[in-house]
This record gives sequence, structure tokens and C-alpha cells, in this order.
Amino acid sequence: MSRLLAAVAAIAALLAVLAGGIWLFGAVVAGSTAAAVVLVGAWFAVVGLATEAATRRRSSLRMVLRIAFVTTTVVLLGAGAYTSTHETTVNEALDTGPPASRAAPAAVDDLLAPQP
Amino acid sequence: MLRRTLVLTLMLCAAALAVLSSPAAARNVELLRGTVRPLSHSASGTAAVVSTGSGRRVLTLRSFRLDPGPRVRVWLVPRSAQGDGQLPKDRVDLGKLKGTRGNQQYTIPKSVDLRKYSSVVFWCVPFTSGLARADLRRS
Repeated sequence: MSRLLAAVAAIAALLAVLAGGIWLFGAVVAGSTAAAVVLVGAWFAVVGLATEAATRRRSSLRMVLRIAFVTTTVVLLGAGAYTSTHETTVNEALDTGPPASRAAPAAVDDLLAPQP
Repeated sequence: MLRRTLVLTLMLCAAALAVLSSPAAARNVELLRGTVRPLSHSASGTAAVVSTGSGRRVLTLRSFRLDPGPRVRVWLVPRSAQGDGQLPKDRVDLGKLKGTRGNQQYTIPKSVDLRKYSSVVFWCVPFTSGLARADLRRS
């Protein structure tokens, strides 16, 4: 039972560390797409190596965490590939109106300014 | 007979005045308009800001098309913001992009000053990247 709990806790910790890295390096630290890809990739490599090192003498945990790591990586790559190729079409009714050039400039300024 | 006609006419005029002076009868006005142009993804379409008769302001995207990306948000940013590779700090989030194709619109919060926030950026959050943008000018 304690082994099972340890495995569950280790998987949860691994996922949290990976997710935290994605958020930190991909959305906060990185200033460009290339930087985000490189930093997140490097983070995954570091976490993978660290997991291997930490479980060197715990063979039961090692396989579980390997599976969790590989599954997470594959799922994330799959999700990224899906959202990067999947088209979604919407056709909402749009509000339309005549151009503001026909209205008084002051009235247009009022509508562009924050509304009460 | 004449009196009845007069009363009826007055009633009709009053009803017409009530309808015309109601907010719903106020007319929509297109305030801003611009073309969606690609940054890191292929994109096209027309973006516009319309003030509706009911007092709302909406961003409309007509004939919109954008190559897909994960977690794309629609942001209003100042015209000076780069928006192509650098995260614009000064921005108004209008929400998740509803679709990569078609006509769609987004409500603009009342507090937004559209004299300042006059560009639209389609921002991919995980890749910290602007996919497309539209610089809006007065219609």
C-alpha cells in the first residue's frame, strides 16, 4: 500500500513539475516562440534526467515514472499537434453599422472613450 | 368623427416617438476597421469595432481565417505594441478565439479606451507568440 501511495505521489509530483515548467518557461520567461520551444524542451530534458538519477536505486518507481514521463510527453505533443492543425469554423451573426465618418467627430470620440 | 381621428393620430405619433427614442432604436455605428494580417501564422479577414444601439461595443471578425494554434486569445493592444514576438504587457483580453474560420464577434468591456487600444492581436499563449494582428483605423 505504501508503495502504491509513493508511486501515486511521485507521478503527481512529476506532472506538477512538468506543468509548472511549461507555464514558467513557455508563458512567463520566454520572449519568443523559439525561446519557448527551446526552454520547455530543455526543461523536459532536465526533468527526465533528474527523474532517472533520483530513481536509480528504486527500480519499482523508476519504471512507473518513466511511463508517466513518456505518456505526458506524448500526450502534450499530440495535443499540440492537434490544436495546431485542427480548424474550427464559427458563423455568428455580426453587428454592423454605417461607418463613423458619417457621424460628428465628437460623437465618435465619445463612443471610443470608456463608457459610463 | 374628426375628434376620434385626431385622438388616433396623436396616439400613433406618441407610439412612434416612444419607439424612436428608445435605446433599441438607436443606430449601430462602425467606429474602427482594419485588415487582419499575418504575423507568425497565415491569416486574413476584416476586423471592426461596432457600437451597437444598445450601448455595447463589439469587435467583429468578418471572413476571418487563421492557421490554427494552441490556446489562442484575442487581445486589444495599443498600436505601438509589437505583438509579433514579444508579450505585450499592456493589453485587454477579449477571450479565447472562438474559431479559426468564419464570422465571429467579441464584447469589448465598457472600461476600455478604444482611442488607445486600437490594435487586435491573436496571441498563442503556450508559444508566447502573436499569430496575426489587425491595426484598426477610424471607419
